[in-house]
Amino acid sequence: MAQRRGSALLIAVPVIALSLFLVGCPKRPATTAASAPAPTGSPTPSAAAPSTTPSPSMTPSPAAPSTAATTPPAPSEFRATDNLKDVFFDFDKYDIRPTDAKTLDTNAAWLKSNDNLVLVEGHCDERGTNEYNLALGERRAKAAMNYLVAQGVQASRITIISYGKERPTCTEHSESCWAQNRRAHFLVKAR
Amino acid sequence: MDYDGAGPTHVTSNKSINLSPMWSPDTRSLAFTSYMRGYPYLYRMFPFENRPVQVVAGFLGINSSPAFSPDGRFLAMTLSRDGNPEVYVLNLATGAFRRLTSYSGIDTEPTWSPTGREIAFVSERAGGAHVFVMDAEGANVRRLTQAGFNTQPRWSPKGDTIVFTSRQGNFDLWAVGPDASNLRRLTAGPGNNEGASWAPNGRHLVFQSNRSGGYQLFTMLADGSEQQAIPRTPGESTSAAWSPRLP
Repeated sequence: MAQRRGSALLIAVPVIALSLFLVGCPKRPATTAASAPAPTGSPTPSAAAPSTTPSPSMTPSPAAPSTAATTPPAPSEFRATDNLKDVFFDFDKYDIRPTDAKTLDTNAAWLKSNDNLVLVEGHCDERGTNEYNLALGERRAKAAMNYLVAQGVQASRITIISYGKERPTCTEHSESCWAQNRRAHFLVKAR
Repeated sequence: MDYDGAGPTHVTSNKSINLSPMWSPDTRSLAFTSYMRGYPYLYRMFPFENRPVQVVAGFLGINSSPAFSPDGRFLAMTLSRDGNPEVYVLNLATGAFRRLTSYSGIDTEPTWSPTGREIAFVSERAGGAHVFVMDAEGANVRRLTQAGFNTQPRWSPKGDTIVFTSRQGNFDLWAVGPDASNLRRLTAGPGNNEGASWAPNGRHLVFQSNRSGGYQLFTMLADGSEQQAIPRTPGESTSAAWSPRLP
């Protein structure tokens, strides 16, 4: 990038490049992850080690965490299954709705009889900032995880992930479409 | 790219999702969130130098919303390593993280005052998303917004204004003083108008709007007047970050 003296530059996110990547790589999600059980109030840094080998052109800064308390499996190792159904959320909410609780009951029952690792993805609709939606997606994934744990699924089997608004299933700009995107999605990985 | 849209150049080429670019005050580096390793870690790149990308924060959970302090010594960010999204500050020299917020829901999107003494941020602690201000140690939290769904605060270079995005129907840009005074609306459609970033002179803002279809970047004066589209680049453009003055 050419640097111009005495002026200023804008950095922006080209959305089209992102979209092209998402279309091209549906089976290798790039994700956010927090391994379950989520630590609460821990004063100890619990840095996640990278799930892949760092490229030679990338180095940790002096501030970068160097050890991992728990290294979650790579998101690309998980696969979708028809046995686990999505649950959905209201705008800017992460409560489990009564009808979705029944879905989670069914998911929990299947998980208790199938000893897989589980990836719970949290997603948002397109409205709002990337940053807020990353946080909201994580809260949705965690709400779903907590419900499964309360139903007897081992927390140590679950990894939660937030995609924010970066991976919609529906791309129209309508409430019916947004409702489909505000979801927790489940994938599994054999132990 | 330049502020008039000329010379757009890729600075990332990792075939992954890259979000939330933020300039360092010396303009030498950009902090950003990327999924290049599968998880959303915070990185720092040096687009004008032959230096490797650095991992700044790679904790379990989300590592997002970077914001350099005005003196460049600290980087505020959102981490969920302790169980839910909270605002932290990283001392870039020592690598020490300090947690500033403690709420069971969402705290995110920090932005520094130009003095470095205060930080505005978004929290749902009052129900819904609202803009709050705290001092740089995390104390003395005050609420700035009362209505709507309010995100993406950006403190002005002069220190007297915080611009933010509010959803009251559509998304539009609003401004408020750091003491919650002088609340005013800067845009009123058409379409959604979001994600403002201040020019270093404090007189202009860049933001994204879908008034013409897909999102593209616009500039305007700080009072919302003189809105002008920046010539389109291929596809949509969002999350603009106006650099400090270049040397």
